[in-house]
Amino acid sequence: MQPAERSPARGPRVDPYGFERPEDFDYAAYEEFLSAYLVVLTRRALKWSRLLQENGGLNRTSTVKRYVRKGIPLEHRAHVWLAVSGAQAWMERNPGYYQRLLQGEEGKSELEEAIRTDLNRTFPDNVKFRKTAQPCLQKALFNVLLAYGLHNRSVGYCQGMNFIAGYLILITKNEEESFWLLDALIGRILPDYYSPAMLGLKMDQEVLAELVRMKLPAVAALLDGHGVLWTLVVSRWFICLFVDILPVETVLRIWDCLFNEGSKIIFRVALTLIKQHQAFILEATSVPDICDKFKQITSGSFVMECHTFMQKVFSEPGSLSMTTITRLRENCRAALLAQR
Amino acid sequence: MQGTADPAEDTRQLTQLQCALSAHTAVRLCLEYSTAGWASPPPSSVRAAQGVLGHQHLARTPPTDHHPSPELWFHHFPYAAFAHTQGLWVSSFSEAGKRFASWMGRVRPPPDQGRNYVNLAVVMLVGDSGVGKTCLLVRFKDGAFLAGTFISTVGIDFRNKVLDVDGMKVKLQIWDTAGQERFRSVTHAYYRDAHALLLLYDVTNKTSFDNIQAWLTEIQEYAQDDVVLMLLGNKVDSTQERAVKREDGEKLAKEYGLPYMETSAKTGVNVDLAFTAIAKELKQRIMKAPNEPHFLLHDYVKQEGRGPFCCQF
Repeated sequence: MQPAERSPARGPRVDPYGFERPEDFDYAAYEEFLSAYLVVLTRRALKWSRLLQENGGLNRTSTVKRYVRKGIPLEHRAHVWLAVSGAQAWMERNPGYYQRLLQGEEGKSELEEAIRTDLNRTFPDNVKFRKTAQPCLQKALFNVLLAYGLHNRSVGYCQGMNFIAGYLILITKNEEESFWLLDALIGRILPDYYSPAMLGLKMDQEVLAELVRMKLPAVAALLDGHGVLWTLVVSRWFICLFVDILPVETVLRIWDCLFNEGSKIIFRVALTLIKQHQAFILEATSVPDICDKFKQITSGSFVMECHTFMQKVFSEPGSLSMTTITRLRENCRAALLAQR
Repeated sequence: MQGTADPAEDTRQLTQLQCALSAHTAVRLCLEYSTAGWASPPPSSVRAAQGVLGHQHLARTPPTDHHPSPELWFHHFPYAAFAHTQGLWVSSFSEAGKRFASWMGRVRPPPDQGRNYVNLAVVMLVGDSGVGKTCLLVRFKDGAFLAGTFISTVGIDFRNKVLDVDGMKVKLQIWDTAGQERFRSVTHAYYRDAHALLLLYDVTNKTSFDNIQAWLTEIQEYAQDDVVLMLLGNKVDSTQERAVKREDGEKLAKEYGLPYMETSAKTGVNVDLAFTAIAKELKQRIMKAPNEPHFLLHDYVKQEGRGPFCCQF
């Protein structure tokens, strides 16, 4: 190939989802990854089209599980998320509910103010969320968060939900569908991460700590030895479901499994990140050092190469049964309630 | 043992020695060397020991006083202090040494960066959602203002900056926290690791000022007793109507005995000063020379702070 025919050294400044690429974005590494990943994507797209053409193709749960783990093509993502999470069924059972929530007038002002504080602070690096964008997704974001806060008053609005709703809107391009997917996540898939006591979040952070003690004792010993609380280094992983922590494509691949298989995937991802960088983390000699390391392990080619990353997520942490998770969650929850 | 003239041979010898030295022996060698009055140049055995402890680049002046004051403990006996922190050598040391060691436990040096990099301190930013914690931090870190290009902080985020304080490098790790009320039950767990706290409110938002008392209660309950604490009224640049007078901020600060300043992350006014003042205070707590006057954080801030912003009332 002649140099002149090669793709330019710098690819598009904005990614397919509207996010501006950072100044230090490694276009060459991304290009290399993408050329291999495009082959995978094409192959998966063909397979998914065939599956979805079948009558009740999405009912073949074991096939769907295998397919979802290998990634849902972007054009089918919203549809499959809605179907496998049950959000579609809820939406069909409650026609017009979303619109009615937004028409009500009660108890809005405090909620509205909390949401407004974060509107300009949700994805300022995404061109679709700019005030000047046509249409500007800030309005959709506001509506979805407001409707959800009115629908689930015990949760209301919690920072972090803005990023999750923002991703849902980018993928579904539909407020009502985003609302029902948010409901599936917060109401059914995740333990109560966002309620005022944040008990589910604290519980899952402790569960992760326990899993690391079992599977990666050296890392656990390092953190315990320095008295580092797991919440210090991983709270954002749980609250934002890896948004703004891992690359967009990787987050979406994780969410594919999250909607289909549930919250266990979060532990798998966290364990994979820690295990892969175990030696690097163990170099830390102080609390700030440990914090830095945990921040650094969420960037670079390991997390950018989402297909390989997802394969590792299902192999590296080893077996992780739902029975174990449930037991650990019960224990940690009881311990947290006893501490109060 | 003496160093040889050939630098390559010298290095080889040092490496060999380093491999043979246990941390315990290394501490003993360095300690003996330092208590003997820093004979110069150090013999290669001591240099090897310093290497083992990660202090090979350490430049030290001989002590003028063989019975240094508690504050000078570290300055003259760094290896003794190091030994303390490693739990290697406790019984033979004085109360002053032990006090120092407990300090070292909190402000621990990264072993590979030498002793004049000793101060590694955690500064935590707290205050209501939207008062400008992240912006203040970015202004300090990068000297830039994030107009509409920053995201709400969820949970906690970290940034590092090395400051030069009176010729000594102080590394600050700044923890930026989420302001929303429900996160307090998560963030209060972080307080105990913080050496300093910057408590912010927004001068254009009365509620954020009213909540300061609640934040102080939280701090009193969870932070270390000796934490360095400063109150900052941010956004003094704002064209929006001011909701909190400077006098009100001063009054509250006085009531609680806190140093106080008004800042602007947008224009940068008093931002570096706030962090520098904290770094000076932290540095002084570790290694104040006996004849050096006490660093008075309140006075420093009063003297150096820019304002008042009376014209904006």
